[in-house]
Amino acid sequence: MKLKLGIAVFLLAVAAYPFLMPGSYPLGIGIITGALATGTVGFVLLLGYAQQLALGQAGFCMVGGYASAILCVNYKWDPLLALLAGAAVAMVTAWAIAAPILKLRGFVLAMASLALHLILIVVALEMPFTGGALGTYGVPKFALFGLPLASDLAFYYVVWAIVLAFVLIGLAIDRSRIGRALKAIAASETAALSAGIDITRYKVQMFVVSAGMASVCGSLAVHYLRAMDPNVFGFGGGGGGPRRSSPACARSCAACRCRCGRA
Amino acid sequence: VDFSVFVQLLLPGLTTGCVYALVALGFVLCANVSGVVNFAQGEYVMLGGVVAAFLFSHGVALPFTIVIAVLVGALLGALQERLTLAPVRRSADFIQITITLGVAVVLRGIALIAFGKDPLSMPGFSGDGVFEVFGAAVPIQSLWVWGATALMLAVMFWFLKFTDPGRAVRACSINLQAARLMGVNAERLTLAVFAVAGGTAALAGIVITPIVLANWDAGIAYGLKGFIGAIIGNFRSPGVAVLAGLGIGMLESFAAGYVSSGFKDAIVYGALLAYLLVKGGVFVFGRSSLLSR
Repeated sequence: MKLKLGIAVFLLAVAAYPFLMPGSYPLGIGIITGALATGTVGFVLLLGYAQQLALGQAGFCMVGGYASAILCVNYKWDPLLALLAGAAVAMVTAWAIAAPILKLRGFVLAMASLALHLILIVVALEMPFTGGALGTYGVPKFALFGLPLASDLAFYYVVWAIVLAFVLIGLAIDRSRIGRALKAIAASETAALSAGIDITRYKVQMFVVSAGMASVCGSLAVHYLRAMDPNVFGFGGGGGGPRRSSPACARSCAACRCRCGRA
Repeated sequence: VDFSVFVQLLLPGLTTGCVYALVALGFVLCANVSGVVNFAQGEYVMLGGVVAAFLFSHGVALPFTIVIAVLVGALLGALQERLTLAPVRRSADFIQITITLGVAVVLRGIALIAFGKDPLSMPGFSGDGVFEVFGAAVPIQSLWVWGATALMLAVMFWFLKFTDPGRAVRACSINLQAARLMGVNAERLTLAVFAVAGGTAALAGIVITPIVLANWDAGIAYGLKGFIGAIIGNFRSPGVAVLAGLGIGMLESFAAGYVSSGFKDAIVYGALLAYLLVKGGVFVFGRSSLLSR
């Protein structure tokens, strides 16, 4: 009951926000917040429930962001298809590296996953197909089944609809056998293992799910920013996050091909 | 391989390695007494550098600049412990570590607002000249970096080996719980160690600034590479951590010189990843490795 009420209030707030805070700048903040929220659901499953301190998850945001940017700009893919392709790449990658990396624990896992993210940033800077430090720009607006979303307002609602879908998936996992297993793993891996829980399997599952959600986060953010460069999901904190994501800044960047902020 | 090129890469690598070594030492000491990995460690290097460069450019004499910047580092280290870690000491490690990450972001933001986004420079302590070793040109300031590092390390190891608080720190590194039960005042010790670690990192930041400039976002790189040193020292052995820090500095310099300067970070982090995976028992197959630490 309390949960349903919470979701209702959440939906109402999301629906009313563009009208309470009119203007393109607040709307931009709403879209970016929603994009980040999609990734956050995945982080909650991995960091919150399973307590696996995988700090490098923003690397998967980069995978999604670059997949969307490169496929849409260079290969003229449909944005939705590019988003799904990015998520698929992120999930397959996560599945491939999950077994070794999730054997690590605590701060060693934190550092190892962070190292992967940092290596990815260097790769994005140095490889020809990513556009290097300038990034890939001129990303089209998001489109659903070939129909471009005419306004940012429409995109705003699409983003938050995806957030809602992810939250519902998260809640379903929470109430399932998987959710209980994850909480057991968080409490004590040894105890969970001795109670017959296949901890590796559940950790890998959550790693893959959270990578997919992080990738969607990256794709959505890029379709709003209309450009992707190594700083968008960089480790810079102040340099990578909010300032770059501020709509005016990102828009002018995409338009004039220059890097703002730190450049 | 040309020997002068080798030396030209080795010595600057040693210089940055000194900074990593001091940061790694701070990581190990903080982790030993508090059980928490302080991810804000690298930010104190950055703060030492920007505070010193700022004061110097506003006409403060060099000795005072150094003393004030070190004190700022030590004070902020102590404040971090008092304000953000002491109140949550009973919380899970997970939460405490995340808080130190938050502190790092806050310190970085404060530096950005207070000192601006442009890199600050500072002249070398004995001029900006260079001297030659085996045909390699090395800034004279490097001598200050090596000297300051050697002095700090000597003081630190004397402290750990021959003083009572130092013995208490080492006792904590062997067994935190037992040390507390034996009457080690962990609260006071933690506060002192955070202050010392902050001051040491700040000093490293001050002496390196004439060579590399001081920038608000430089702390991450120092922190991460010092962290690698601490990991190789297993968060137990200050000596190994210091040597590893120096080694990382040189590895980075050689990677930049012989492979690619763009990929130097990727090479260092790749080496770390490989080390962690091997050490984490990932290549040992079977169930037993799953629970081995």
